[in-house]
Amino acid sequence: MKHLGLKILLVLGLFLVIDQMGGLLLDTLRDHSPDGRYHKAKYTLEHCDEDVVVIGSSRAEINYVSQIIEDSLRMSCWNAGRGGQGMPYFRAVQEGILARYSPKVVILNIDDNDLEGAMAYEHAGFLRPFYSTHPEIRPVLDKTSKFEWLLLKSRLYAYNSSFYYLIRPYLVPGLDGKAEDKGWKPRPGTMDYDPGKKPESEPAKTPLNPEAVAAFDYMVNKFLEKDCQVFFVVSPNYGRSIGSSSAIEYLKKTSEKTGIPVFVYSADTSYITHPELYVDPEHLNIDGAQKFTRELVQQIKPYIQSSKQHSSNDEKVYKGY
Amino acid sequence: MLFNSLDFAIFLPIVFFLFWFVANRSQRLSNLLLLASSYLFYGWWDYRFLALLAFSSVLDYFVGSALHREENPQKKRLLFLVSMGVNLTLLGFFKYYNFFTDSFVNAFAFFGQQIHLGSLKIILPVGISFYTFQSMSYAIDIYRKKLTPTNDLIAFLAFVSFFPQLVAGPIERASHLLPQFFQPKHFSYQMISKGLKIMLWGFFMKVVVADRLSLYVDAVYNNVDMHTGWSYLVATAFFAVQIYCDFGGYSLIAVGCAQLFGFDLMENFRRPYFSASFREFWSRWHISLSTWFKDYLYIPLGGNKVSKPRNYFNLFTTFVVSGLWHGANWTFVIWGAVHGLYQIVEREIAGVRWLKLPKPLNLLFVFALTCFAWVFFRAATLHDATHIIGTILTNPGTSLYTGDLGIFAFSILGVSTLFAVDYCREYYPDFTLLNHRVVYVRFATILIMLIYIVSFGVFDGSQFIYFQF
Repeated sequence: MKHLGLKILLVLGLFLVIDQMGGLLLDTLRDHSPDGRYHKAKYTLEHCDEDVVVIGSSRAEINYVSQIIEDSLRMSCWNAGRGGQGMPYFRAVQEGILARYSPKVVILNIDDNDLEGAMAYEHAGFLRPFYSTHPEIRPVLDKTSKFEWLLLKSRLYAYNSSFYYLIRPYLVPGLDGKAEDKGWKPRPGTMDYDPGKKPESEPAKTPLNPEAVAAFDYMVNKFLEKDCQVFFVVSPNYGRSIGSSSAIEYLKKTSEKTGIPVFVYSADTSYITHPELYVDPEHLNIDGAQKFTRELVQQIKPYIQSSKQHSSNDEKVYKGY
Repeated sequence: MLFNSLDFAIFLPIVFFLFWFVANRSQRLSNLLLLASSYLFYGWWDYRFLALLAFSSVLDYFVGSALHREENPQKKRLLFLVSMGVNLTLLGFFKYYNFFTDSFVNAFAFFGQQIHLGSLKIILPVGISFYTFQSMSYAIDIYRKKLTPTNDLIAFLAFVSFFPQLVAGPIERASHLLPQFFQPKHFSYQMISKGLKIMLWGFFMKVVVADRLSLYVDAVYNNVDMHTGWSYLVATAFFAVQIYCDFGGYSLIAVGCAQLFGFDLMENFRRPYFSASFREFWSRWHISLSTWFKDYLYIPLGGNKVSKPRNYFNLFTTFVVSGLWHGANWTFVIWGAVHGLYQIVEREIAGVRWLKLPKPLNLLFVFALTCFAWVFFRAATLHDATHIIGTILTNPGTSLYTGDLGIFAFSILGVSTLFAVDYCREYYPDFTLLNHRVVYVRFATILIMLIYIVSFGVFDGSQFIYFQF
């Protein structure tokens, strides 16, 4: 038994040493990434100080052109959207940003079903490499599994399955958007299937998920408490006309209570029937994103005229990161 | 409790410590500890079904004793039928009630008759197919006078509920496992070390390969109509490896875990995709279930000691029932039927010389046809299965869906590692890094595997596929 115990301790000891050393190496790769997902997450959590911050999933990341927002509003902008994410990630990003500063404007891109499905905590696990250095995001990540706090003592576990995206920016820069795109991930090309499809009719409404709604309410209230001007936006999908869903109705209800403007593009026929604006049914291509951002900014502009006039910090407007 | 959960990582060392240092002084105490641990392990999922497990076990214990005592053949037969009837009724109700009522309603609807039979929201008790079969084999063997019943209820209950193999096998026979509950256990470094290594490779197969592949397979199979034939083809090949690693990995964890307590469980998978025939495939795939069906269904039906047509009927029936055992859906029945047909055709063409292929081509051919059958196993409905097969055969397309490139790349990496290891075990069995004679090689292999599992494993608590069976 003693023999067995010693050998197990030896293996575990060696594993811990390799784990911590490997973690240091991976931290270095993460911190020096020229662009890509980890570079973006690090910038969002540790460095961004832009006036306007866009938060959402891939439809935020791909559909909002930061440069157009900057040029039109004369305010600096950072697109913090991340593909495949939902409310847990948005909350973690919010905590990371508000721990350092309060953006003047927050654009929340909410998908038509964002408040209806299950809370995808495991997707927010993408932020695990930042768990040890960012206590503010821990409450969200702790919900990814019962013993997440314990598992994350391992540095290799924190980088579990991340190696491809960690190394890719060194080999093929710019695939997830270049640094000068300020968080926007341009998607070139045009959707090549089903171009003649007519918009589907309104899908049946599914009930709201109380947990997602609670997280959303908390997020909105926290931004308002920090004097951020918040906008809700629902991006368009190709071929699906969704003027009303449980989530959209809830956004409108929240808007009535808080005065936050809501812009619903998911039933706008100048988008949903134009395949040339999309790279796939869910995401706009470069032309589509530019058109969408330009139109959105024109809608937002009147609401933030006064705050823009008060801003004297013009040199920040064109600052890169 | 899942094997790949931290709950189990805490549970196992505690039971291990108690077993060797507290309970091992007395056989009865050891069995009592294993019984309590097994019921805790099972109740962790849903304590309400512990009563079902206990009822099924106690029934077969008393029926087994009565069968042994009873001299009157008619009374003996009645007792036997009671045991079989109760076990199969429980299994049928919990697993097949909705399947049969839905099929009944659909059959009437096909002929234009509308009938209404309410479907029930029945929760399938985890592992019911496994422990029911294990418990039934005890009664059958006593009825056939191949086994003497035990008079130790605790040992019998521990045998049926033994936690390493309770919820997903291997399905052990009483003649092999039950006597081990009466043998004194001696702590041995080699035995424990071997068990831990077996578990380590099982975890690798489960969390690194199976769970990784499932991400791609689910993305394709859960969105039928949206993919090209090539994508379906790759997803199906991935699924073939996924289900092998899911179930084979689980079985290895079970075998290794049992070793930690001095128990020897049967080998359940032996590199099935290195089979050159379907007969060989079924001697390597889910061995405990295949032999169960062979002994308790195929041979009682007459086996091969009958005319050729009757033998083929027996084979076909056995595989169809085996398909139904895997799940309450027509897709599983078709899967079983396809394998039944493979067996029949294979026997028919066995003597045709010009059909003999070189071994590598034979392996590929068997693998390809096995994949064809897996489409039915994995697809949610028969319509989906036929759509997928039709798309593969008639419209393969030009593009391949890769989904998340990271997931796809790690899937390829996992499959390659598995293939390399299985290839070595198949053709160079003496070449083993985990049991290498040089201690540094053994240590380095263990460390690399641990790092591999922590770095590339999927740890979102996904269920073992075979839990549903």
